[in-house]
Amino acid sequence: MAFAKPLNKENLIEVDNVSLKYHQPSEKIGSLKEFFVRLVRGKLRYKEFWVLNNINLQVKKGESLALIGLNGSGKTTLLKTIAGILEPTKGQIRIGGNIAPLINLGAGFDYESTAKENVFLNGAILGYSKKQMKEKYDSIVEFAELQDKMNIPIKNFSSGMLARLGFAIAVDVEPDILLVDEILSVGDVPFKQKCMKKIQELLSRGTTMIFVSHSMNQVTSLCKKTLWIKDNQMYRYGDSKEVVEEYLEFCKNQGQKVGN
Amino acid sequence: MKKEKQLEKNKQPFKIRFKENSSKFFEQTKKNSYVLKAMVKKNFKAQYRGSILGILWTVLNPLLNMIVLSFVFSNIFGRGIDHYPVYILCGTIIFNILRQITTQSLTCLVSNSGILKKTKVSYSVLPMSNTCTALVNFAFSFIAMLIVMLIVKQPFYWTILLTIVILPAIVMFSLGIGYFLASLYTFFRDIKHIYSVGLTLWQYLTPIFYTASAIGSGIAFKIINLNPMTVYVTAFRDVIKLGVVPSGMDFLIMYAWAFGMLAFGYLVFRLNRRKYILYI
Repeated sequence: MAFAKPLNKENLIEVDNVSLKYHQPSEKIGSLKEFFVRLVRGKLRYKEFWVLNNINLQVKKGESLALIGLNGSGKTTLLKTIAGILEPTKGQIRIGGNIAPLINLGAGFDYESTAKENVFLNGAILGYSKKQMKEKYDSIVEFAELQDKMNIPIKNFSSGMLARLGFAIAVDVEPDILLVDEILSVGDVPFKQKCMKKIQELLSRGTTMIFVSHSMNQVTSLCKKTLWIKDNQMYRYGDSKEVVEEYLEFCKNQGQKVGN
Repeated sequence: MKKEKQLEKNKQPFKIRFKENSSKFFEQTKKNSYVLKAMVKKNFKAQYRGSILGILWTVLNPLLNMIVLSFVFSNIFGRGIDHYPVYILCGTIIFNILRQITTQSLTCLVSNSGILKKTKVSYSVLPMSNTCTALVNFAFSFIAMLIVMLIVKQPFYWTILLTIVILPAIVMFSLGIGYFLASLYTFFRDIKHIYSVGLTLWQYLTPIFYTASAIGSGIAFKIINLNPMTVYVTAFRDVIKLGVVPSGMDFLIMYAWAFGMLAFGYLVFRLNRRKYILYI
């Protein structure tokens, strides 16, 4: 799916009345025979639910927005819709730049291939040619601090090492829009700090970011604006500090434990 | 909502719209080609990973297979067929294109769900990457066949060049089936088992080990003649082994099947594209 350009030139991302309906069979039908048996009996029922309900968003160039909310409220789904992985049932999304989705680090890693091969494979998936990746290769390796391990098949990597490699590739492509989904929770403390620094550096250079996190410290330090999604709808939108404060209060009442 | 979109689009003059769309298409195609290349490389490396002879197997495999097949079948069907090993090899390497493209495309959406769920990659690239892998394998098998032709002293004809004209038809035909099966398999996982049996049947209904004329004129003969793979295999054998140029009618049939199947398969694949993400 190709996106339309934003109507307002100041905006980089425009989410216009977006709703997304999941249309899943209420019981998993995995075989043809079952499907026909049910079709004949008229029992082919689907459970419908709106995972996103009427979302309106406008993100300006260089702005960073945080998405917060309980598990299953639709944060990642919204992120995936903006990334173009899911298509909205209603509404329209308009994007004015190239996107680097950091939704799951190392999506598309081939575990049998070496780290070096995976850099190029992942680069291709993010839309970069081999030549472009060759230029970036050294700085990726340097950032991931995996110099002596690039010729090892990544099935032998630890999850922390995989995260390093994935983050290094995704950040090095200098995107206009960075979509970050809770990826900073892996990796050791020094690397986490390095990632935060890199993100801040990108932000200061004008990259736009949408950030999903359960760490309220990260939210308030990285993002000016915050959107609280509750029950698949927009619940609060505004200044990070205020929204986060209200959210923490809500969590307290719910008896939920929130990190940091 | 759709109407609004349409109105919005109509406000722009056509020329700009066209320019925008075509540049977007071009950009998308370029990006897809990167993925395509990377995937083909990955597939190819995965095939022979860990083996000592590595890429040499691509030539050795059809060669050894041919030796086994001609050893087993030469006394049953092989009588009366000149250069029987070449006869078998022509059939098997053509049928292998179909086998590789379709069986790999069948599972491609499901087996690449990790990529599809988390990044934005065009779905249609996956069956295409399988096609490219199959083509590379074909090239190596072709070399193996040339070696066999030298060994059994099969004469070479200029018509061998016509392979280039026949090959696209077989590839398009197979890719069409591949698209169709990939789409179906995401919804019904039984297809994998049904298709593997069906493919075996299909192989035996294609004159690979025997000649179509040896079958007589019963119902089997009619089925074999209706089978599009028969046309492809026969045409390929004509240009390689007999030095005969296939008739215009043969080409017409080959390309009618190719375009028809590709259009049908791609249409089914395309129409269901929004649903895949929910099932993989």
